[in-house]
Amino acid sequence: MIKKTGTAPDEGYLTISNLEKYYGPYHALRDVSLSVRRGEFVCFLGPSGCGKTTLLRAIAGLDPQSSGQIWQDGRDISLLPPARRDFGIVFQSYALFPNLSVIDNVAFGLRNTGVSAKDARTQAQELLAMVGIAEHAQKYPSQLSGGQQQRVAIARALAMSPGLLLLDEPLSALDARVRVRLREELHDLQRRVGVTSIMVTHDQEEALSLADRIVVMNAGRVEQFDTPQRIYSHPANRFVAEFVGDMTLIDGQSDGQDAVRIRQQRLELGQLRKGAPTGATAIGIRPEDLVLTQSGTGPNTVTATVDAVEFSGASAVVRLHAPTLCDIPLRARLSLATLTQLQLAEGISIGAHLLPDALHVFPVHGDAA
Amino acid sequence: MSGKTPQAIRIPATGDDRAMRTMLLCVAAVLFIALIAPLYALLSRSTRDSDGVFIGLTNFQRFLGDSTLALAAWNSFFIAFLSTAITILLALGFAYGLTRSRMPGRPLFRSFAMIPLLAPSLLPAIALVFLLGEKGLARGILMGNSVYGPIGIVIGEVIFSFPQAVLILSTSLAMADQRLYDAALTLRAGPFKTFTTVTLPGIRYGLISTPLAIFVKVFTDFGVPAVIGGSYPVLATEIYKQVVAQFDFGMGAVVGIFLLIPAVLAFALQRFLQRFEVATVTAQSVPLDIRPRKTRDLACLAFCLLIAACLLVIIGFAVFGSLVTYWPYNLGLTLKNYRFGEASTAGWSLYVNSLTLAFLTATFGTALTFVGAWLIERTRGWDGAKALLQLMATLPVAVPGLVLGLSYIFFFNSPANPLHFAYGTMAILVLSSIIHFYTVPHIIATAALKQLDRDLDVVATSLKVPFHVMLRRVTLPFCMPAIVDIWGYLFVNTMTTVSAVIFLYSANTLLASIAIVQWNDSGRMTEAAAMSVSIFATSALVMGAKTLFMRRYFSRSQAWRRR
Repeated sequence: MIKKTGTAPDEGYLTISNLEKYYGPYHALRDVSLSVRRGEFVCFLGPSGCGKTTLLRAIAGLDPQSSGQIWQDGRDISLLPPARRDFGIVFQSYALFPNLSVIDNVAFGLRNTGVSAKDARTQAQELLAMVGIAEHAQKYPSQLSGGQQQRVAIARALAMSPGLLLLDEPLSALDARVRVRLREELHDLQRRVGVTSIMVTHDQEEALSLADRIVVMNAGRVEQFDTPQRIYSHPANRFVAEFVGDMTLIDGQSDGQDAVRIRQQRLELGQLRKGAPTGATAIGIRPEDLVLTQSGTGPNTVTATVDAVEFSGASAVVRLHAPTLCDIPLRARLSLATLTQLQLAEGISIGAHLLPDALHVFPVHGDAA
Repeated sequence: MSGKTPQAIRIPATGDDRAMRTMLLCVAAVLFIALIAPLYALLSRSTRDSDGVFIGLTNFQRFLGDSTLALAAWNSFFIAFLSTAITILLALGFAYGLTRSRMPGRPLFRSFAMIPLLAPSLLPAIALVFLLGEKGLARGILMGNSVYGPIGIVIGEVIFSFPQAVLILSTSLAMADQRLYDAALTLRAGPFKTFTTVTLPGIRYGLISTPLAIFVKVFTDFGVPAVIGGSYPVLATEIYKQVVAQFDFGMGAVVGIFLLIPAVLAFALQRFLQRFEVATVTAQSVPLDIRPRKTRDLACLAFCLLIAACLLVIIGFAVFGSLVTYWPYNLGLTLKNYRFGEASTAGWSLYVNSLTLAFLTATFGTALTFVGAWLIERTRGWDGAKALLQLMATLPVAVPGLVLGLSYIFFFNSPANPLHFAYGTMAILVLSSIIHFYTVPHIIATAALKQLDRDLDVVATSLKVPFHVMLRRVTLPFCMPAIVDIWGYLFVNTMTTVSAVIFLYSANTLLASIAIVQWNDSGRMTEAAAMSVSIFATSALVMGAKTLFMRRYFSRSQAWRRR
């Protein structure tokens, strides 16, 4: 019944190879290939229109790809209709059946698998307890808060014990506080149940805190597929560097060895940054890797003027002007203790040390790309 | 674009897909057989003589050369134009009162405006005869002019079209953004400037589409001119004469086409204009905040009271006429007019026929239109077939009842047609009524289905729930209010229609509304009034029962709609 169009790739529970998707002339997915391990939590992260939802819908079979293949658990599902694929799904809109009680929502699929009504209700009740809303079982969706509704949706998606859990921006409609709480619960729940999960999100904090690995996407392409730590500390290119976290990028020259030059300033590259590209490059530094010192001299240190101090709760961001380096403002993130200790004020002069191991060097593609 | 852009790969159909596609084909087949094929038969018949020989456009030449028909065409235009102008003026004032004033009793006034919807168009016409006819009680106000002819037709048509005009206009008037009015105020725009720059552009679409709809409705109406037209010829009554009295089917077909053309043009124009309609009311809009203003509210109240009084007088006179012993000589009250045995041997069975037809049309029509709309919304793939079904579902609104009925004669009465056996039965009346009223239920059903998040179906699919379980347990309960609305719409419209059935009844399936026309022709005014009132009372009862049912149903099984 299932056409053998190739051999199943050895590793990976879900393997996508060379996926392309066109909407008319619009190229929505460009040669997407990736492999998700069994039990892994993967986030598709990217700006709107980057193709992350398109990719999720292709995996579910809702918007079939134009070409390429998808393998799930050793079986080629590329041509299967959604009904024959094995997934549970959670939407941003919750998508609960409005006229069914919470418990009937969760039991809706079970009833059609031959499970008795009583067993279905018992199972549904257990799932509701697992997501922490057992006491609301008899209510209707409209009587619940957004966070509670999304818990029902998650319980319902898990009810059929799917091999794959697909989450399409599940937390985006919730307000900030509920969002963080449900994020933590989702994290724990997924690790406990062990279901392979894919979540689409445009919120980097969500992706960084939830995922085992993140797929960063842009304009239909996979820019980087790696662990949250690697994505943050070793962004593969300028796009990832700027999209995930905060980074100041300055044009410069790299000698391809152990140093870069920006204007007249030479900056040493740390041991971790060896092997940077040669020639015209963009050199990036994250605000937390810019260390402010009273003495304005030393290696990798420039003199800067404080333009502004922006207090943001747990930390503060200092905007600096360093004419020997660049015309755009530099940003440094400081703890409150450091802020007090340095006694910063607008207009004063200070040393800014760029940590050698925290400098990012990206080739400048220009128009050649 | 390069031609080698790869299209989406083809995903094989599941059992559910196949079942839904088969159903889609079935609904499309019904619409094809009961709408497209008969219309084709009509077009084809217009180019043939009475023996079925092709004669090109000869019938059309005869039409243009026939002075009575040419006059009828002119009269139809004149009547439709005048009635539309008066209706729009009155309805605009009434709708303004309902939506833009703080006059008391607005919900009550709204219900009053809807009264004519519950009666056949014959009822106001008959009431006019009692009121303004040769022996009418208030004929003096016509200053010697006869109510039979243009005066009576226009008054009757205005009453007949009034509810629909109020409905559309009050919808467009109610949808406005308070912020625009606040902005106008801060920019120091006077009332006139505000009206021309904010109010008028906001209701622009309603102001174009309402006259189009009313014009076509009047242009193609049979009931009013049949009762009160006298010897004043209009196309709707001429087509009937050509076919029923003169058996000139070729000419009947030509007149049918002339009735069809303005309707189709108006339909096309409306669809065309819809494209330019920009939603001025968005999710961010602030609903209108209308503050009390004494002069405006009093003026609106006076105007609406006047209109409501007119409508009540009309209905009242129909009821009064139905209770009169011997009009106009003996005004003593009696119920004998409701014993229809004297007017026709069929007696009350006429009424039972109408009730049966309305019940069957409402029941089968609701099922067909809802399932059709659901299939268009939910079938996976087959976009071409869905677009075609959508087109066929919106087309009936552009086909006048008389034209549909006539085309059924040509199509189903042809001995070569295997469906010939249906001719003259209740089945063909049910079918023609369903098709005639198809579009509005289709729109109601589509709107209700669009309220249901599409993701729900994706979830159901991921839960391996078959489509029919999803339909039964979620979609149907969710759409129940719309389904009840559709049922009521079909019941009342079928109960009151004349034009859709006048060509199709047989001796066994004679209907109450048709009997009214016949009795009126033979001078049995009081019985005709009694039957009109019976139909009116039935419609009112059904609508009342619908409201009660909905209230109880909501409180019991739709608890989920409450917060």
